[in-house]
Amino acid sequence: MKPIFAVLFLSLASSSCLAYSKPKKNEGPTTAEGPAATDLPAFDYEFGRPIEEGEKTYSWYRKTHADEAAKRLGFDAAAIADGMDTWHWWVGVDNPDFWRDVAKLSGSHLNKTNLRLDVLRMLLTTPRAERFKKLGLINDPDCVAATKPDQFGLTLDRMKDGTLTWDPEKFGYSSGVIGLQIFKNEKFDSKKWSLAQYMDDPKSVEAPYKIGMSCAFCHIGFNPLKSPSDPAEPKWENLTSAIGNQYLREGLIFGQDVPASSFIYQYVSTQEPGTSETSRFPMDSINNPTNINSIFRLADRLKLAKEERITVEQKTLIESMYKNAGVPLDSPIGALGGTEAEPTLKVPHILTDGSDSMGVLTASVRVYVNEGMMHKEWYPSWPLNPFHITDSLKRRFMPKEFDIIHEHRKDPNSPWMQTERRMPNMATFLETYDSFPLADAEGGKAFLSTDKALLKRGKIVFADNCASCHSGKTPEGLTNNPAERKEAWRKLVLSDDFLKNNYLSDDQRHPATELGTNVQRAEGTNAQAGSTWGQMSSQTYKDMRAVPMKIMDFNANGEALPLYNPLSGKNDIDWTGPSAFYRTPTLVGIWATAPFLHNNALGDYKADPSLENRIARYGDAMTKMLWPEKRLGIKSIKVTSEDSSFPELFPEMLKTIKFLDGLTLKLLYLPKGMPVNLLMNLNPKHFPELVEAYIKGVLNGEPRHKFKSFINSRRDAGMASMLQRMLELNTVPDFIEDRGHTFGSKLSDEDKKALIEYVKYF
Amino acid sequence: MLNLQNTSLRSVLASIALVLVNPMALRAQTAGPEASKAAIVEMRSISFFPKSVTIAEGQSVVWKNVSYTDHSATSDDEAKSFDTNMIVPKASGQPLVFAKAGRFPYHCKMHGRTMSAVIIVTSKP
Repeated sequence: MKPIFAVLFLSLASSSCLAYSKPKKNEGPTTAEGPAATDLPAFDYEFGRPIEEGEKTYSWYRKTHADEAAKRLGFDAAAIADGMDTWHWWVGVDNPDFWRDVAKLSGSHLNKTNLRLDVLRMLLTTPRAERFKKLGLINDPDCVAATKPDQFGLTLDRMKDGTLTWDPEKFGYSSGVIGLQIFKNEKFDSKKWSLAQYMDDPKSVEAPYKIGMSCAFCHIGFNPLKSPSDPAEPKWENLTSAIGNQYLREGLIFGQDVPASSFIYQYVSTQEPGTSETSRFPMDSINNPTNINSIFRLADRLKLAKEERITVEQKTLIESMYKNAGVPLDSPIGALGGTEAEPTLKVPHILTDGSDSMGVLTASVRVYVNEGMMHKEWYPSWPLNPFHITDSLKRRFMPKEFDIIHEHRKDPNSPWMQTERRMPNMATFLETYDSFPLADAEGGKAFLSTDKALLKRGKIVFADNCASCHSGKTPEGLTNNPAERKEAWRKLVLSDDFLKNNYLSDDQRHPATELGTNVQRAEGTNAQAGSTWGQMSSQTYKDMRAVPMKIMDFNANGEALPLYNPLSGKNDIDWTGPSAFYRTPTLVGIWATAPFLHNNALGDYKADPSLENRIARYGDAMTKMLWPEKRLGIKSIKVTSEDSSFPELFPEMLKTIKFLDGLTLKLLYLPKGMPVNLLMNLNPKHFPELVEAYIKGVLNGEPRHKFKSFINSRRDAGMASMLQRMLELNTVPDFIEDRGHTFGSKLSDEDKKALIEYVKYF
Repeated sequence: MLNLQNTSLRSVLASIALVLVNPMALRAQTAGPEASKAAIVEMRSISFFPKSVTIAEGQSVVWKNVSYTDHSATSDDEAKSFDTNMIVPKASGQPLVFAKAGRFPYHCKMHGRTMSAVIIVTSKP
């Protein structure tokens, strides 16, 4: 089977003895890769101990995977390996400067929250042995903890001598955490350097290194078939690059120094493990982290792609992108179709809400921007641009599109364009992941039922209740007759090869009204027209979302209810928003990747990658899926664990608030047990209204000049008024995180148990 | 000089200098009295040592890999006037004779500009 892109790329590796080769053939101008050549500081990187004879390194991991996949799929091994390098080490050229920017911003005197968006600081203050336990980070097996500070006093992990097999100017050195690469800082001046000064104020001095982030930071995880004996010291055989890091504590990476008494801590610490808040930058005023999903059976998934309408400008964009990347216009990653006047693109639905709908190439490069590539051009698109608050206020926090159609692809060697050219091989690499059958794990068979009658029952249950969404294969010649359809699905699911090459998802967007799941993620706005990613969603997506949708909850009998109100304790929130959808996730490997749902909110979590724990988490999540009465329900609402302080606002924003004598933000404490998203799901333009609501609550009809006299005695009344106003202004007042997807809840207990056993085979 | 003991065929092949030459600047040297005057440059973890070597016209240079990673010594010029190709750890390349005076910056193909150095060839008096 030819890979999607392999025909386009000539292998230079077949007769070469090189450890590193570049098989890509670019249609566009020949340009050098990586950052523009500048004078870099002259110091040499200090390696750790040398690699030992027979020690397996990234080179081994790379070659083993590429050779096996090439043999299995008939792909070009060099293309796979090159794609893996991109996935693991490519930082989109300039995202290290983004992470430097946010470190400087969050370290400045303007930031009173203690929230440090400083990855270097995190690496220096979180020893290697603690990173997985505290933050869910995956340590690089090719690194060792520093035994002493380096020449600059840094205690960053060191790469083992012999493991650097790439150009560090292009890909950096490993920081010790997979997916975080360190780059020499061209602004570093050893004469001015002081580690103590940096830690006190990162803005005041330039560090020897900048930190860049690659895809692997979120997407690499532990190999479910070969659990590490020590998660803090995995070997390469314990890792797999595209399963998604289900242990990542993204919020805590930045919130380590924040005291629990700060609302910011409450916000970051309630983010579910294994999720990424991809609309934190830029914010969409909805706290909606989404799970870092696995990437399996990409080729099978692409066969499910559907035509969606795009604009004429988007068509021109795709033609240009494909030319630059060397991709044919009818490529399965997004085949152009339709007419000149009404073009279409055949696209998979990427991201849990299916908003990334301009094909694989656009979606892939977009993520690099989300990690900070071309950040100077990106910041102005943010509704709240912390680097230019005045401009944000002037725009009333309205976003702008990141303009790849007219602007950011003009320079043929811009970071976007360089990254585009890397994507075909990266897609080839991602295509190589099929599944992780439980039977192949050491000891895995012990967890698999071999009761044929039970498994058959499970298959029938799956066919009757799940397959219409959770299968990439459909019966041929399906009719509208319910009995015939049932029979056809059963026949398909019972067939011997049902699971083979089955993406176990239809990859379609399903309305939230059908699913009943929490809609915060699906109500995200960043892919709407005029928003940051507006050019990277199809017109079909935008049109679908333009239809209003009343969002309901459902009781145990399946009856629709208004949404739950955490302030009243009743289902009395009547809310209509833009239509919201989730695309069906794959069930491939589901036995290994609990908790469930798009927000990882269904099922208990435990930071333990062992086989036993994976099975336990699977059992727990499936039980709660099928017996919804066992879910947390109201208790899944993210609430503060203690009284916390109102976030300090930027000075420019404070100026917009009409304070009264005696009133400061310090008075606005947020009570223990308060739903975090009462505040986090607010557009910042409403902050003055919150303060006004507080004032009104305190005054209770009294004249404003009397405020100071009631400041202590009526504080609770002020808070209640403010919380009520938060609810009224909430962008998405959907608080119960683990609700919905109750399909199968009416099955008998025996049917449910059979289903649970069968699905372990996925 | 190349040490053939305990060296695989792959290592031997990797160590043969495939010299893409500007014939005015260099010529391949397999043996001869000039080889005994070869300047040695070590290929270390992420650097060449010494970073700058000055030799006379007609003298040669041998790159010796004392690190744990493959390295090459590849000239910076577009014509790639010399290229040792990848030399595996513990191996050395064939001596390269620099026949003409000049300044020849070079780098490791795998590690790029970070690992770079220069050969300075002076004219014979």
